Amino acid sequence: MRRSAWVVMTAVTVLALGAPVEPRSAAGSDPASDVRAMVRTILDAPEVMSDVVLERSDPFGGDPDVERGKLWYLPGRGIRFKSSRTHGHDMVVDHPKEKFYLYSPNENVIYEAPFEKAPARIRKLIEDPDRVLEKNFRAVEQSRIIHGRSRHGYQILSTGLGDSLTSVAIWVAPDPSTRQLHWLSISTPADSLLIELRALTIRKKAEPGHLTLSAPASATVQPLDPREMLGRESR
Amino acid sequence: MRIAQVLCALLVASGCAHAPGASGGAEGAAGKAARDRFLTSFALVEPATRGAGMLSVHAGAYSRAGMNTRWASVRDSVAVVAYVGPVRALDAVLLGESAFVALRPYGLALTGAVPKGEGLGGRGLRFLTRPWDFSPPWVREAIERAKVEPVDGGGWRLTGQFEDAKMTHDFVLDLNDKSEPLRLRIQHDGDERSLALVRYGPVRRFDIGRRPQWVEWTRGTTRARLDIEEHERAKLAAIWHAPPPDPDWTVLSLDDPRGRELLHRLLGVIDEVTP
Repeated sequence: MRRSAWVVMTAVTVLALGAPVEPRSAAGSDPASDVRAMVRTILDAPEVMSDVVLERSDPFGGDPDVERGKLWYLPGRGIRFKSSRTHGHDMVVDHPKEKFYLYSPNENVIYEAPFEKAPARIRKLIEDPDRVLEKNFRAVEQSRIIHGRSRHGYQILSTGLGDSLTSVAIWVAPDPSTRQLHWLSISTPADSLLIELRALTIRKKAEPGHLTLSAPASATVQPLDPREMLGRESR
Repeated sequence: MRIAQVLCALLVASGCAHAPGASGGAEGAAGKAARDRFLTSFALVEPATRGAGMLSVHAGAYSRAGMNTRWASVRDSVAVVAYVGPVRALDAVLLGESAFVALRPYGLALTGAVPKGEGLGGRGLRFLTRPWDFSPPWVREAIERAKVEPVDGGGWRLTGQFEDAKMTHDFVLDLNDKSEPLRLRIQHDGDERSLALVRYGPVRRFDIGRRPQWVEWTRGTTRARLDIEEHERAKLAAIWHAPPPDPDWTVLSLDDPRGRELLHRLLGVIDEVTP
């Protein structure tokens, strides 16, 4: 469960990194500043809600898989993604409760782990987004064809996060009318994920209840614990 | 003339007296024809292929249903990626004799060479990850050597042995009356316990040819089922490694008894190892 969430949130983290002085766009603006402005409104918001379309490439050359859902991000509190698919999953990282949840409707099971089991960058994004903003990154303008239409956006060149992002290529693009973040592409040598944020809403007040799983009362809770898989000796 | 008729009757009776199979007689010929039809359809060397489907896995405490799964197969390599919702949950890669399995939600990975001398080994694992492909020479030859018997109600049972220099594994392959695979049971020589049981769903035509709509693997309490939605040729020259595990993962080597035990639980393929 964690990796895609990690990728998504890492990308958001990358977008939130601070802006250096180079390079500049033809219009004279600083691409990194443009990106920073695009993302700053998200990181500074009490809460952000958005419909999300995830388009994941087939690592072996088949048609991409498309999944729709809803995203809630409450800086300082947590993150939730709920799939709109029939039997789609519901995932919550909740800092005040110190929990990381995944609800599987197919099994009617809530998988539960401590907050610290969530990926470090997701935790950082939740706990201290301002600190993330202190970092530096570089960006250049780049247009891409998305679903047959050219979209003006920005390729993130370097992140300041170092190691694990060296093999990850990130591209972002705003909604031309609102200038808010709308497209986010994360590519690795193995596959890529294109995220479209539709109807992005910046809320003036956070609603912690949005971090509540949709699981019914009948759902059972199981730990998300690798020790269960390791046999008798490790139990 | 009378002597010739008697001899002829004796010959026929002699043929009929044999156990039904490929060794002779009308049933033997029919069985051989059924096997030939099976080999013609399911033992052709597959080019690079890819597929997509839904996977469910139940292995001890681990249970997942509805995993969107993609796989690819090129020569002696197989790669499988499974997603739970938007999340990449499982990677399993076999590159020759090397295996890498990652349970991403658990922060858990297995890596190393498939131990020789255990279970079916690397070639057996590769076969079991694509059990609709009976083209590997050691599989095809074993089927060609197998005894063929009719099954009550229609269909055929092929009984034989997979062999290599060190080990022998008995197998029973059931075909329906169209020579399509129904069930494959593999066990250690002289051991009643199944090393692996594969069940095949109805065959339908995919881009790659006629293949089962679903496949189910069982060993002990481990059960996995793949409902196949796409199966086609892939434009792949090679399989690449899965994304590496994160630094905070638990990575077990297949040299580690815990790693081997976990592989047993997940794939239900190689024999139990006492830590």
